[in-house]
Parts: sequence; C-alpha cells; structure tokens
Amino acid sequence: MWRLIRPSTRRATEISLAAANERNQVKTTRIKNQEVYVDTHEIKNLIMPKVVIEDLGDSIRSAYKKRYLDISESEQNKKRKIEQELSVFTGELGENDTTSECLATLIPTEIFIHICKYLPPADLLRLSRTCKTYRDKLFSKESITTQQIWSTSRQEFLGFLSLPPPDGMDEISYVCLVLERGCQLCGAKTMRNVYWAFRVRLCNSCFDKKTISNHRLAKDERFNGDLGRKILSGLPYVEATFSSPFPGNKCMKFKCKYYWLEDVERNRQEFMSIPLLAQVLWVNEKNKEGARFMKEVRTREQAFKKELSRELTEKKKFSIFGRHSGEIVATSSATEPSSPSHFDEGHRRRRSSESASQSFTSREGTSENRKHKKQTSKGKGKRKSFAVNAVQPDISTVDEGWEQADERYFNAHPAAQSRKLKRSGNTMYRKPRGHRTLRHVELAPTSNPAYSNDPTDLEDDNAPLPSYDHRFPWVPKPLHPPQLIHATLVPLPHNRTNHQLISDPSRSSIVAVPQISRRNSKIGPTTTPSSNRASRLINPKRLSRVGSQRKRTSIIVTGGKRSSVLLRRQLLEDSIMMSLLGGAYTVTPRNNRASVLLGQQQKTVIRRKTKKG
Amino acid sequence: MATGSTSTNISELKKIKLTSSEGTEFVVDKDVGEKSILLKNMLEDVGENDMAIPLPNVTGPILTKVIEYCTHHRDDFFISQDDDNKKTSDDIDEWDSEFCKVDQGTLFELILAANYLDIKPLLDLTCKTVANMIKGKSPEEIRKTFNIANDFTPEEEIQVKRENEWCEER
Repeated sequence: MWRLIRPSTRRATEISLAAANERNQVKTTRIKNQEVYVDTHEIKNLIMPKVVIEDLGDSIRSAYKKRYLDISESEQNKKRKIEQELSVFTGELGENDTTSECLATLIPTEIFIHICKYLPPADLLRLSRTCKTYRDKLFSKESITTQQIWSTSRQEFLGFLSLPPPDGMDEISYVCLVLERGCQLCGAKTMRNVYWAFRVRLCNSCFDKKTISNHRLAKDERFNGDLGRKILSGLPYVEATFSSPFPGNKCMKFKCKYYWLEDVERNRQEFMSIPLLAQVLWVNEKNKEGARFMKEVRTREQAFKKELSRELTEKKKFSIFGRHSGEIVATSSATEPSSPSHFDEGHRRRRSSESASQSFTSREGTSENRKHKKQTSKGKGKRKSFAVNAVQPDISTVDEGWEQADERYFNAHPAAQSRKLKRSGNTMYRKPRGHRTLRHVELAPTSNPAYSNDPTDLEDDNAPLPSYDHRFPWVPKPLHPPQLIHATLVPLPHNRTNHQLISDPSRSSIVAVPQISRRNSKIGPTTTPSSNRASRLINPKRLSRVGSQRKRTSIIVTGGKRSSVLLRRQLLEDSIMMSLLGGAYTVTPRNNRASVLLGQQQKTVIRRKTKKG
Repeated sequence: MATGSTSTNISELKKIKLTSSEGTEFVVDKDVGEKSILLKNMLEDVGENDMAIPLPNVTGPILTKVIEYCTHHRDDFFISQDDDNKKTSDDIDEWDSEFCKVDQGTLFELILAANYLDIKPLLDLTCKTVANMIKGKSPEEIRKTFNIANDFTPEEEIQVKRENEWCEER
C-alpha cells in the first residue's frame, strides 16, 4: 500500500477534508515531502466497516488482528480494486508492477541510506553486487549521497581509515584500495601491497614494470645530474632497499627511491616546456607540494601498516593454535603467510633468490635438520626457518654442550623462539638503522663460504674473504687456501679469465698437490687464540656482528671424517688423476666408496645420538 | 487495560483518533500518539479537536503494529536521537527483536510507516533489523532473502564479480 503514496512518485492530491486548508498549509511547511492527502471519502465507502478500538489491550488487539488480518478472499479482492483505482489516481505506479515483488529494491532512497548506516563496507560492496538498482545507488561516483553512505560506513567500521580519502580520490576506490586484495594491474592474488604514494595496489613484478629507481634514472643521460634532480622534484616516491646481485654471489644493498614512470615522463615534458627563468620557481613549487604530499602519504602508510600488523598478529595467534596438532609441515616456502608488510624491495629479492638455495639444502639436509625446520616453520614461515638453517650445526663436530644448547634452543616455545631469533638473526634481516649511504656497501653473509655447510655446495671453494684471518683470530682460519677441482666442476662466472689456467692440467697439478699434504697435517681442533691476542685485535665496530656468527664458526671445525672434506678430497684426487691420465681414468669405483663412507658416517652419528637420548 | 486504569482521569481526557488508509479508526492515548513527531506537531497545530487524523500512508495492520510499539515504549524517554551515534546493529533488546519477527512485507511497511510518522526509534530498530539480514551474506544469499531479481547481464556480472572478488575471501 505504501507504494501507492510513496514520496518519490507521489503526486499532490489535495485533500477535501473540512478543515484541510488551514492544516495543510501549516503542515506542508513543517514536514516537507512527507505529506499527501488522499481523498478518503471514496475509499471509506469501499472498505470494511469501521473498527473502533478504545484501548489496545492484549485481548482486544488479538481480536482485532483476527478480524482484520484474516481477511476473506472477497475482501482482499476489494482491496486490490482500491489499489488499482488509487494507482490510476496517483499515476506512474503501473510501470513498477513488474518488479513489485521485491520490496527491497523499491524502498525510498532516504531509507536505503538509513539502512546502509548499519552496514560495514564489505557488506555494502556485496549488496552492490546483487542488482542494478543497488549498484546504481552504491556505485555512482558523482553522487554525493553515495559518497556519504561510504564515508559513514568507513568511519564507523574501519577505525584505521579515519583520514579522508586523498584529493581526487572518491570514497569507493579509497575503501577498495585498502580492503581489496590482489594486484590492480595483473590481478595476481592474495597480496595487499598498497603503495600510498602512487595510490595503487601492485604486485612486485608490476611494481618493477611501472616504476623506475633514481639510480637507474641517473644512468639515463636525459636525467643526468642536476637536470634529473630538478625533474624529479616533488614527485611522490616509494623508498625501498635495493640489492643488486653481482657475479660471485655477492650482494650490494642500498636505499633508493622508486618513481612512477608516467609521473617522471610527464614532469619531464612539463619541465622542458617552461621557460628557463621560471624553472627555479617551478622546482620550488613542486618541492613544496611534494613534501606536503609525502607527509600525508607517510601518515597513511603508518596507519595502514599498523592495521596490517594487527591483522597479522591475529592471524598468527590463530595459526599457532591451529597448527599445533598438525604433524606435517610442508617445505618452508609453502608455509609463508601472505606477508603484506614487505615493502622492502631488497628483502623480497633476497628472499626469492635464497628460497631456491634453501629448498635445495632442505632436500639434502639430514633428518635432524628437518626436525628443526618443522618446529620453526610453524610459527613464522620462511624467514625464521632460514635463520635457523643458518645456525644449523654440523653433526660430526657437535659436542655435547652444543647439543644441549641446541635442544633448548629449538624446543622452546615458538613465540619465545621468534623473539630470540629476531635478536640474534642475520644482519640482513634486521631493520636498517638510519640512513645508509651508498658508500656503505655490505657483503651479504651468503657470500661467505664459511657459513655454508653443505658437502655438495661448491661455493665452499670460493676464496675466503681477505679480511677474515686478520680480524678474527679466534675464528678458526680456513684450513686451506682455495682448492682447485676439475674445471668442469667449478661454477665460475663466465667473465673470469683465469679459468683457462685452472683447466690447464700441468698448472692444476702443481698447485693442488701440495695442498693435500698441507691440509692433512693441519687437521685438528681449532686453536683458540690466547686472550691477550684477542683483546689486542678486537675491532669494536665488528663486534656486534661477531655475536651473530660465533655459533656458525664452530661448524667449520672439521675432523678428518667430515663428509664434505672426504668428498672434496676425493674429487680433488679424481680430478688430478683425470688430468694426468686423461680418458683412461675412470671415476666410478672411487665414487662408490665415497658414498659408502658417507653413509657409514651418518649412521654412526645417528646411533650415537639415540644412545644418548 | 491495566495501564489504562492507573491514569484514568488524565488519559481519558487525552485521546486521539487516527484513521488508517482503509478508513479504520483507531483511538489511542495522546502520549502514545505523541511518540510520532508527525502527530505531535499536528496536534500542536490543530489544538484540541475531535476530528480523526487521517493517515493515508499507513494501513490498518501496520498502524496496529506501530501503536503496539509505541504503547510498549510509552514510558521510555527517547533521548535526543541525534546525540547517540551508536550505529552497531547488535544492541536490540529482546522485546524489540521479537517485535521485528514479521514477514518482510510488513517489515518494510513498518519502516515506511515509521519514516512517515517520524518515529525515530522505530525507524532505527527496523533499519537495524534489515541491516542484520544483509550482514555477512553473499550477494546470492541477499538476493534470495529479499527476493531480488538478478538483472545483470552475464558480462556485467563477470565484470562486477571481478571488481570485488575480495569479499568472497573473507
């Protein structure tokens, strides 16, 4: 019935009641659009007899309901008739009859707005997907009411988004930017990297495509030097740590700014078009504007990061309790939660490059290694488990004290563990302190062969760092100079020239043979330096790093039985033999022996452990 | 009847007549009627008058419901509604939620009547109820609940779906 007289389609049908004129004037001023008078005399004649209710006591009401609500068919027909007649009277309503079944879509806008007040943005979005009417109401970007609906919903239900949307952005896309997942360009799923500077949510590969770092720009002659700086003035940027892989598996880390490519191009054209005199002014203006913009961006970023970390901790809580019962934890890469807070480009790249090597070691790793992994990957995923991997002890050299310490270390509660690991973790996982200049080049720990403990890892044979033996006398020196194995086994970068020399059989034999004897004589426990010598040589700058590496150093203490040593020695012998004898020499029988040796060694270790346990 | 008998002298004096759209006449106490801002203003304007107030936007059954609500809350002092910004839709008390257990047609008509009669608490209550019906449902479920026809073309639907896939993930 309400449909007949609902305010939107209502036409003024003036009242013919007795005192109507006076009343009408008063009322229409007071309550606008709410009032329409229908001539009720006509209707009265058509409908049921008058029902007068003196008081709405329960008994009377139920009696009334019975009488009124169980209307007989004929009466309902009568009602319909009235409706039809009235529809003629008020007009327009006949058109709506086709969709009249769904009341919900016909409600007036003001009430729709009222209902939307109680709905969070997620529900509003879902509602907008149900039909065109709602979509029009909720997705018209020009309409002010739509914006109001969204802004009230955002302020009510998304506390962290209390800031109004940035200039030139409407409420809907603002909310979508924050709440949605996935890359806005390629549609890659489950990531939430919002780059507030560019107001876009991008996956990492799209980010690389769409942006350019200031270092890369500097290489372009158009943006060289001072000119480039002027052009870039005032542009929004994303700061990130860039790590460039160099040959020899060394990595450089430095901070750089990423600019949106189109922004740069547009600014360049603008800059070129203005007269020379106005350029200084232009730069100043842009800088001011940019500073303001970046300030805003930073506050948004902070709020967003906070929210994300809150969500992450909630998720983590859940996952710790959820996974305790589960036995199997797949390879670490699978367990990584969708980690949105990786704004840091450098970390991301490093991570991807290392996940390969890590999964390799995990495949080759001993059972003990795997056990550790299982425990650690529960809580935090790849990052943590990698840190643990790096500390993993060599079985053959672990003494009892070490083992106990490890036991305590790895059996700790996951939460406690994560705390520990955060503190003692690799330097590259720590937050960078302050600003690092380009000069501060750091070698990534992976490039140091001393850390790697994998018998099959051929990087072991790279040259140790030159500073190593000077500065850390208490750290065992590498027991031998770099060895040479057969040239085909050495993964040298292509640009290295001395590779020819190594493959030369006569050279290699000359160099290699004395090494074997020297190493054999030197096998034994590490010589810890006398205290006075250590104190003399302590470099306070390096001390902090020593703490994190000390554990690893014991790994290198090699007994004669160390598998990698055995294998390496054998490979060396083989290579020498091969180089001397050429094709006549066959490797197979010795290789078999090596594998048997390896197997034996592992078995003995395991047995020893079980006895203790 | 018990409520009527306690304040016989006063309430008998103050009765108002309402006429629903079908012409049915309702006689209610004045304080109940004045829960509606519309009626309150009207009575102020007209003064003491024996004439029935026509409510052409409200049908009999709905008016019964509205009067039921107003009678139950007749003693409640409605605080100035603009001040309390409580927009959570969970704080509905028992009687109210029981009151809202009606079919959808009635519910929507109640909303409209509340809007028309300008009874803010009733409007809030009914809107909250509708919002609760929408909350946490997928679009398909919402369509089912409210009997909404899906009038998107398939292409449009795909596009719309792609635009907000994320609400499915939650």
